[in-house]
Amino acid sequence: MSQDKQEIIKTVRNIISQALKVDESKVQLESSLIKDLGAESIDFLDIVFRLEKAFKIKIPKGELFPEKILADARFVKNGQVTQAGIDELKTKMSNVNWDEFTKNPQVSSLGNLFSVGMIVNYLSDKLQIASK
Amino acid sequence: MRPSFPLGVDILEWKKAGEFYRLHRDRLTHWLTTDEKKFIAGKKKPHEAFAMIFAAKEAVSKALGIRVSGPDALKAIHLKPRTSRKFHILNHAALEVTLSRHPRYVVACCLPVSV
Repeated sequence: MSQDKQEIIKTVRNIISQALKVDESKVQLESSLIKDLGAESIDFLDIVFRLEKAFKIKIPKGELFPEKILADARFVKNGQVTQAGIDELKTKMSNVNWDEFTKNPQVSSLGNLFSVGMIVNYLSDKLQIASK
Repeated sequence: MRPSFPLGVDILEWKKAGEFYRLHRDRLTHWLTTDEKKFIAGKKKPHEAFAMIFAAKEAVSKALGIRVSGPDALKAIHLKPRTSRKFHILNHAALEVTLSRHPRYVVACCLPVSV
């Protein structure tokens, strides 16, 4: 793993630990922000704002946590994410393992896919793009 | 068949909302309406007023069926605070939010006006 990615992981773990008031040892790459670390809606905003400050970047709305898709009738039907919605989400969350979610794509369980590793991968891609 | 109606409830810790407000207050203008900003600015404890606004917006987004809300969803809900305990929703006039204060939490409950 590159030195840069290690630095990103270290900073992200520290930010999440501070934002969610959890011990840094509990913040692992595979940790789900909601299921394992107890994040609520306000915490997602808090994390985005802290990441922007720490990495000196702008995270456009919906780019890290693509919540806008879930308000779109094309992508959600009867509390479930449609296949079109899953396809759209996959383009936004390319570093996520979708196998389990696609078996029962409840909107309410989508938040469980938001993990520490997803943030790290997003930042790695974003910072590479930014430095090019 | 029982009648069904939209219902959204949100519980937010004063302390958590207060810390968020102190850290990010300069960022909040992007997703608060003029009425909401006035409500916050007019209170002796603006961080508590912010907690009430945030919880109310969350409750409305849940009543509307938006399960994972973010800045866009919250920005799209325009609250009109009537009192410190009751907010109207300008762009969803059939709904209203009632707030309850507890020592550690604010509880926002969004229901149709007619219920």
